[in-house]
Amino acid sequence: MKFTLQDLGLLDAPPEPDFDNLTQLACDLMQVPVAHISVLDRDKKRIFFKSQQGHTGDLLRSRELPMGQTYCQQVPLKSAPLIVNDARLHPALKGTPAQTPDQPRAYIGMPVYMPAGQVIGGLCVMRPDPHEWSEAEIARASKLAGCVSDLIHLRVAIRTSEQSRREQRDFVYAISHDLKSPANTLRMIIDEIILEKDRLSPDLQGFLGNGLAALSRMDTQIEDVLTYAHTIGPKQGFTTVDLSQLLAEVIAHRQGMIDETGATITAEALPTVKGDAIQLRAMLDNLISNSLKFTRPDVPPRITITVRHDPEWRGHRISIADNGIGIPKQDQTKVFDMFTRLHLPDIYPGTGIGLALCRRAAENHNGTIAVASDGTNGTTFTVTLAEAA
Amino acid sequence: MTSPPIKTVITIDDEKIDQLLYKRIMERSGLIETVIPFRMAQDALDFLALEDRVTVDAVFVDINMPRMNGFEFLDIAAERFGSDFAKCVVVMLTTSLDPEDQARAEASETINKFLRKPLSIEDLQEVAQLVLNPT
Repeated sequence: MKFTLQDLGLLDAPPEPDFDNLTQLACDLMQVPVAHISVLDRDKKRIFFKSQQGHTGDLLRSRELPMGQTYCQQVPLKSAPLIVNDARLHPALKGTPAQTPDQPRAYIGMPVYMPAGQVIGGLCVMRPDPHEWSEAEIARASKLAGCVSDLIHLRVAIRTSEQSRREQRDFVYAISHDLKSPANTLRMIIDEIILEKDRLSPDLQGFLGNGLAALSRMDTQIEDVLTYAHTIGPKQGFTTVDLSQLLAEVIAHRQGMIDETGATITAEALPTVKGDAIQLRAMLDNLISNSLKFTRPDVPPRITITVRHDPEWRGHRISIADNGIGIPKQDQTKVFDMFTRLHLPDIYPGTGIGLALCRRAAENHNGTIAVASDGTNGTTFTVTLAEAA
Repeated sequence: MTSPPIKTVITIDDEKIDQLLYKRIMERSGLIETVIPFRMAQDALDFLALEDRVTVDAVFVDINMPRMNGFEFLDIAAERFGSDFAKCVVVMLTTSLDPEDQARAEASETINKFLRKPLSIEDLQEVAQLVLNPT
């Protein structure tokens, strides 16, 4: 098994509404006073109740019973339903505590499965008096147990996906760092050759410059991949983030580009949201630096940032509009895809990661990003983010 | 000196330096007479559409390029130029490590060869065989 019962919160874990809802439904639908989800702990030879309705006294507090004292163990041990109309007459329970006074007389235990098919316990319903369970009642209990299994499958799927995203992120970090070191070595080698470049033909001297340019492109690419990697993986703790503050940081970071291009940036007051500051800063930085980069020759960039609060949707729409070269309609859907570039690298350099990162960051915040442009007169990117709760 | 076995190839790759290096290695191989480079797939399509153009023996095309990628280019070229385009040897030459790209190239009827950069003289010799002995 890939995850233990503890990993999945099924053993020694507090009750949770998603399971409690089902046991509550079981009581209502089956018209019984007691229902629970029992999980067999083979190591400690006990039954743990992940969810319980109608338990009293010590059991209510301990939420567990030693094996041997329960009907429920029969279900995982035999991997089969157990249907008891009268415990005192049932052959499988002969000589067990189930046949002592005060124990429920009628009982149904339906198997609960892990995704691979292993029975880990059961959804059990019981009543104090003997009862001839009808086919309909048995079918109902079976369906409810199916819902419990589905909940567990969903949990396994979420854990698996979180785990693989974490692995993916770690892998990207590792491979990026490993790529940096040979790139640095190469740079040093080229620097050495440059010291004695007079011994080379003019042709080869030209290649040295090209080699250095290729290496710095590789550096940018690795940096961008690393920033992107930060958006992969299970959601980290969100904090309160002041977007105006982030924008000020981005503008300071890009001051060189702004001075060089003679850009003007006007921005309305940006809201404070709940989020990951690194991701949101990377998103703003990519959108602003795109607006500074994709410009017409001799036309200074003009960037206008506007904010609309949408009370109905309880979110903010932040638009970043520029007067640059625009994005043709037919390319607008693919600009958010990883590694998509629309231009030759020597005209508008780039790695094709920036907008993929923006989309990922927006989606990680349950937001969206969209582009609008007529293909010649500027581009407007609009990001929606939920308001801080 | 005998004339090179391959008269004309076109190379489609957005990387300027890679284009420069292709040209050098192709010239050095002595296998190719003329290399016509394109940095955007659309420009190559426009060239292939010319009525008075030279016959192209082989096409070397990258996958990841701005606007139109190598697969899109080949689809359009095959549809637009039909059997005329089918006569030239198509080589996909790429840094792509994506196994899906390779599988797609192998499944394609248009693509005769899938090569990984960097291009070597041995690669060119194999391509020359394909040009000289079409199967």
